[in-house]
Amino acid sequence: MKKILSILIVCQLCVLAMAADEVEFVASAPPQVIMGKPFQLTYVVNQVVRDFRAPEFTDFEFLVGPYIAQSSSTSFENGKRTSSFRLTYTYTLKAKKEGTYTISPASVKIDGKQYTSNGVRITVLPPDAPNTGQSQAKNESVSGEQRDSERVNEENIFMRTIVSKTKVCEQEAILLTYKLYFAGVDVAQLTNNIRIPEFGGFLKQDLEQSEIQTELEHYDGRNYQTAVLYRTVLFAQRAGDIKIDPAQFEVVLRVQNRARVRSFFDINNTYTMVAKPLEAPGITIHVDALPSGKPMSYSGGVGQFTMDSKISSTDVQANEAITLTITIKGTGNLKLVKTPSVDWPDAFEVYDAKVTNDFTNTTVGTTGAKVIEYLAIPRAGGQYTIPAVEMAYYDTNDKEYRILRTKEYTVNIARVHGEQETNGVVNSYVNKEDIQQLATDIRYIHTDANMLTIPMHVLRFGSWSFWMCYCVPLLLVVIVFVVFRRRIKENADITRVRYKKANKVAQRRLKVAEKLLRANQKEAFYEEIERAAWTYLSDRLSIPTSQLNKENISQILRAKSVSEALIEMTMHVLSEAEFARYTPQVDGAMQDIFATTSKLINSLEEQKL
Amino acid sequence: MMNILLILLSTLFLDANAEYASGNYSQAAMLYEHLVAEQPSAEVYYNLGNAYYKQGELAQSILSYERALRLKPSYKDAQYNLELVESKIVDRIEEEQSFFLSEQWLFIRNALHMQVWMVMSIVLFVLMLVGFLLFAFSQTVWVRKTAFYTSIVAIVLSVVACVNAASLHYRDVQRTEAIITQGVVNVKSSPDRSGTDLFTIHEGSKVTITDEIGEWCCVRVGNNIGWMQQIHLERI
Repeated sequence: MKKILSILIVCQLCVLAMAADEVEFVASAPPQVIMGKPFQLTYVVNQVVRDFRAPEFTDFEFLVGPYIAQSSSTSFENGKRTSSFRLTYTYTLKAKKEGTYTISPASVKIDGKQYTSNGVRITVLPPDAPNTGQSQAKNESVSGEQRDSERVNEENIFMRTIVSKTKVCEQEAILLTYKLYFAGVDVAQLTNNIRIPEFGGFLKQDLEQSEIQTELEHYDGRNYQTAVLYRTVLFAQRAGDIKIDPAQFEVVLRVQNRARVRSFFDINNTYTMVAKPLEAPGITIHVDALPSGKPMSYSGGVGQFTMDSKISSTDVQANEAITLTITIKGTGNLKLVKTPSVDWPDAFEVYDAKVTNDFTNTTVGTTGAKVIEYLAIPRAGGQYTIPAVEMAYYDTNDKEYRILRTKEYTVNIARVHGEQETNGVVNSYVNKEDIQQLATDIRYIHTDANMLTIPMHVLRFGSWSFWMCYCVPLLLVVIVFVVFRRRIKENADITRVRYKKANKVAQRRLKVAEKLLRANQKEAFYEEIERAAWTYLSDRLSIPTSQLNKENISQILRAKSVSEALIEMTMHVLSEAEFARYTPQVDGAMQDIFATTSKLINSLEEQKL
Repeated sequence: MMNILLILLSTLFLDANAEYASGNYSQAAMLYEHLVAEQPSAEVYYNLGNAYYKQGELAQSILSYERALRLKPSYKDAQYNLELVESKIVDRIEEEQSFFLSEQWLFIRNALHMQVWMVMSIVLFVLMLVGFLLFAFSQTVWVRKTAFYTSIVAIVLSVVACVNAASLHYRDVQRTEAIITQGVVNVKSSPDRSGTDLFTIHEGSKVTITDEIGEWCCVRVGNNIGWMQQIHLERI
């Protein structure tokens, strides 16, 4: 029994000790209050305290307090004993002036130690302007059911379209908010009857919608309760004035029925649920175009960005991959930023880049990082330079274009020689490839000024000289042809040929005779002379030698009207030649005969026979 | 005198090439035009064609290449470039099938220069004559046979060559081939603005002019014939 008791006490003490370790001392008050209206400031502590000291309420009027309330509870759960204790100090204060003030922390002493609460920041809104203001309580109108909806009018509940900026440049982010303002009406819920306009001309980036919370806000002379019904971030995609259509919302209001007082006993206030459609007005956004003079490497990014790069390795073997990683960080229209292009050297086989986006949509735009991995495989050995990668964007703060550059990388690729060993014989080979057609373009201009084809007209078609080129050879050939023809014909006529050639033949013989004369060969000489004369006569007279004799020669010659003297000479020559052959002669006679024969032939030659 | 002109021209040529290399295509084109006005040559027309192409002037480019090929039918670079530029024009031209061999015939005709055809014709004619003589006067049988057949072949070829030369000459003199220079042309049924539109042709297409009346001319493209204004085309 004693043991159990002592254990229990120890447990309790432990629990108390544990409880004593965690002191929670929290101050809380509404974040916004209206000037002149009372509000409550509470301090909650989870232990018994001594010496609670409230701070000085310098900016606020102290009305009532502190009202102290205490509660404690114990519970067993799963064999575990939990107890909680709450001590609440409540002060009622009134705001004196407009502005934002901080109430200093309060302090307590627990078990000799001092603890302080948090400070509380309160915004004091100005009171409602005296003109407006219809609090429901003061409304003494005898109300029928119809009047209920009347109370709910535009001054009590409306919607506002709020944009962070009405004048932006292309691609800059705007925050669009649809806010509900209401005062003096009881809003039960939102319906799903919401129509958000199409934001034509903008790229929409939805934000995470948190739970709808109401806040007090002083607007246009009155204090309203406000709730953000819808928020989104818009990026203008083109220049000009872009109109955003109104949005439609619907809320359900709980309207108190001040209907006929049925009876004294019927004190239940009935409510009607009224659906009220609301319209958030349209708005026009003026979008400036981005200034001209976009840099070549303009990526489409608008905002603030930084760019960083790293490379997997600068020394690899051919056919080993290299990865170049570029990280673009910043805020703006990150989603639309174009992937910068890397100008890989020719020897690299380039693969598609892999883009990883890590974005968060915030109220000022898209923030985060875009990581791009470029993969390339070098196919040949050597030292190559990968030039710096450029990315240009438009800085909305500085209102000018900025160019970001990575650094240049020099990579060394070790050559690869394919070698196969078969039976100790090493073959070196190189993979041959067809020449790859990359693109087609016109061939380059001709650059040699010395080799120019000029139209040269050696011959003009249809000109006289052209036709001459035909006619001249034709004529020549015709002539040749004709001449030849005749020649052949003549050659075919033997007697004619003989006739023509008679002199030539005779002259030839005479030449021979002359030689014989000089050689003094009498016999031969006379023979030759005789033959010359007879053959000549035969040829010229066209009579065969066998039919010729001295008698008919003179007859024939006479018939051909040859002169007598000539006939005489002919006879003489013939006789002499015959005669002298067989008789010894005087020396001079040979010479005579020769001369006479020559003369005869010449004379006869002149005759037409 | 001729030499000085040639020197001036070659400097101009090199200047024009430098302009082209720097990318000043319109400047280069102007200089090339000067050059051909002074002394037409195939290579300068070719360069001119390149300069026009780079400026996007497809019709002028095609004209220049055609003129280059007229001066030097065997100019491979000009043929290649012309083909490439023609692939970029809008119309797809179908050859008219009047005579099934006409395409090959024209191809052969255009392959050689007119001068070459003329010389060939004359030489073949002479060959024919020689063959004839040999045939007439030779005693050897095989010589006579060869000569006979050679002459026949030679005279036929000579006539063909002469016809080709005549055809080319006619083409150069009459200039019936033209390229459309206006972006879009509606070819009408009569030489009048109020004529019915028959068909449409685009910049860069080659047409054959068959008739002329005042500022209008009748053109044939493939199997289509119609009238259009002469200012919208330029003869090769």
